[in-house]
Amino acid sequence: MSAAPQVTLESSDGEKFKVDKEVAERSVLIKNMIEDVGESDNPIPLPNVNASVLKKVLEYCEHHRGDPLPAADADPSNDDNRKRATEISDWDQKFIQVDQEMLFEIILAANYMDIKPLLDVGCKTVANMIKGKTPEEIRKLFNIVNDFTPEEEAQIKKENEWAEDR
Amino acid sequence: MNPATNLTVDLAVDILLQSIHDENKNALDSVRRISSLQEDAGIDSGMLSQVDNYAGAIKSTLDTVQGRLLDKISALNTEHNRMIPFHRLPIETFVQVITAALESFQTRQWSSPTHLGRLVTLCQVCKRWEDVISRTASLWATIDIRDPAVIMSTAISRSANHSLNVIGAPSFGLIRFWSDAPDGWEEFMNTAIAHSTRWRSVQLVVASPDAVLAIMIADVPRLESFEVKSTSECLFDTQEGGRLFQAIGPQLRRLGLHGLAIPWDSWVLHNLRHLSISGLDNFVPSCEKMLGMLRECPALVDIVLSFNRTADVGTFRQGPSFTLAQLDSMSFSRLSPSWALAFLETIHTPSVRSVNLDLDFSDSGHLFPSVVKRVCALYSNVVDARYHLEINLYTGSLEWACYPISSRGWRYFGIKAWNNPAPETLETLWAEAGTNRFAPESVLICLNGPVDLEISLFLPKLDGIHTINSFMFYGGDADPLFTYMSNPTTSGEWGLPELENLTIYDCKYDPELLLGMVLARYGGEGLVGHNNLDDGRDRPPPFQELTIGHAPGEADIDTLDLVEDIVGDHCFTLEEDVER
Repeated sequence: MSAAPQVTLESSDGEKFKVDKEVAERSVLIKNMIEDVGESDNPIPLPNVNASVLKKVLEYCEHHRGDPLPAADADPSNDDNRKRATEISDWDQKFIQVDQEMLFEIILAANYMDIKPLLDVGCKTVANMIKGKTPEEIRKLFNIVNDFTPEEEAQIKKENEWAEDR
Repeated sequence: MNPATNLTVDLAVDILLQSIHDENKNALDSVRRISSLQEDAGIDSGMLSQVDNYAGAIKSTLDTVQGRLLDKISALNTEHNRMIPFHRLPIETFVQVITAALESFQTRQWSSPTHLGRLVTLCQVCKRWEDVISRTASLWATIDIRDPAVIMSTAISRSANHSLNVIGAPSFGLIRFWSDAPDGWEEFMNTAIAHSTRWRSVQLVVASPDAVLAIMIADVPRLESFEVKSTSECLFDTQEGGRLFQAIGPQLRRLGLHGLAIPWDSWVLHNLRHLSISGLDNFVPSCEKMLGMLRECPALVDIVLSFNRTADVGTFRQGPSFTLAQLDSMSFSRLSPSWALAFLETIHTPSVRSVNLDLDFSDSGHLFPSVVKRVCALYSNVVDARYHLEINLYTGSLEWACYPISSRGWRYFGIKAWNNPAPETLETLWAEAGTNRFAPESVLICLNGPVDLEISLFLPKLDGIHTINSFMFYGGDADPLFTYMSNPTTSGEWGLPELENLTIYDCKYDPELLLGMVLARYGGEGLVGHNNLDDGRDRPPPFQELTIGHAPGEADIDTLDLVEDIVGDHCFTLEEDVER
């Protein structure tokens, strides 16, 4: 049996990762690059993703290598697609239990490499962190500071008083 | 502001900062003090006026300085916020996060904040959030009857031409708790109907057929989801109703009708994926018609049918069977068992994973074995899924449910029996339950009333299952369970080898057997034999929680004290609050 075809990916800090083509092609960006350039021994550069993040992303791609790819034209507002997008599997939940810096790096990498399921998992994870929290709790969680002037803040609070009562 | 003034203000900012630094809190007070000293010294009113003017000018400058300072602080904070990891996300990704964070607010309980209420709360986090949220039209495309008119108007305006979600009732699953149309219904509907061409989903309670008519004749070219509850059962069998469903048929994906009968003959909803019909008494379609409607919807993913009463199928002539290949979930509740049997026999459901049957067999007991046989045939579909599996047996009735669980929930297997169902039926269900394949994490067996069933029939089904962490047993004879947990099973392992949480509530049992089980699992000298570890078996984990429940005065306190000494008081609970 012949070995599965492989490709080499190069992170922004110059580290090279040799992976099965099937795994790398979970990324639409890489899939398109391979289709455009043709198979080559040259590493595929990923200038926006450093080695530690790329390693995590490839771990995700490896685990999901056999999954059906999402439809390119799937309407996220569609009821069924939306329902699917809100579900995070146990493995994905454990995978995404990383520090905040890494979490956002993974989301950025998923966005750049066009790996929609990973982007969905990342966004849903951040969304779950936001749910049910007050503005102050959200600020504290993400190290955001209140940059409204007192006048602006008073105005916003006044406009939104009705929402506080709910 | 000219450059010189700007320079002055900057200088004043520096001075003020220095002043703050030196804890000299109020420069204006100092000016006033000087002014006061001058007054005491008998300086004339002209000079005082000049001092007042001077003080006014300083105050004005300080106000400007304060404003500039607050602006600078705000700008510095904005700059800080720009650098945080969250805000490095592109705007479309940021919006995806916010959208996901808001999703549940379209379907949560009525007491929860509305979608727009939550949205404006998120606007208060910082300027970036306010800016992005305010400018993203799609986020504002959900209006709720509980929103104030002014915010609803803002939302409709900000949502541009996006398709609208109109929420005038709790989500359909909770709609039965809503008994009347909410306050402000008419104003809300006037606003909503004015934008009906943008409706994507509608979720409403209506109080009269006239109100239904207003909705039915609205122009709704984008409508995908239509869920309406009528507070009194009504039949909307008019030409307009037929026209609505002719018009929206092609794109309608979800239809939920509670207490509202439509012209069933105009059923053209070929692309329907989610169907719920409930709350009908007088206007229930015939079983034959219902099956005909379902046959017309090959894309159905879930079906909920719950009627107050259905006539027996009677002379129903069963048509050819058909397949709903994508059907994932079905719930038949308060239907005549003959209906349910007709559905189960006529519809082939190869993908079904979630089933709920709540049927009253009081007038049709002869159908019970046939329905059970059909139910058992579905086991092979459901036992591999991540689902709760629950069987409830009442006197002459059956509730068999296999509910989806949340991603963080436990795999749960439950059997609840009320009074005394036919023992052979229960044995059949247990035998077919296939728990080895289902591999639950949590097991509940609840026997209420005079149920004469021995769980020794069921326990061997658990042999070799390593996933069970929690076991709850209510209302039966627990001795077989204690014996099972003390001895090797057919697979040579401990019964329930990974069990950490055990609840025995209102059960009959021999306290010595309970103590023997605990001793055996904790390595003491067992009283039930066959539990030494010479055979190389690993000892099971200690209990995290062991709860014993009794009616007041029924517990054997001395023995339970010994049990508590072994397992530790931190994980042992004795409840003496059983009421019968």
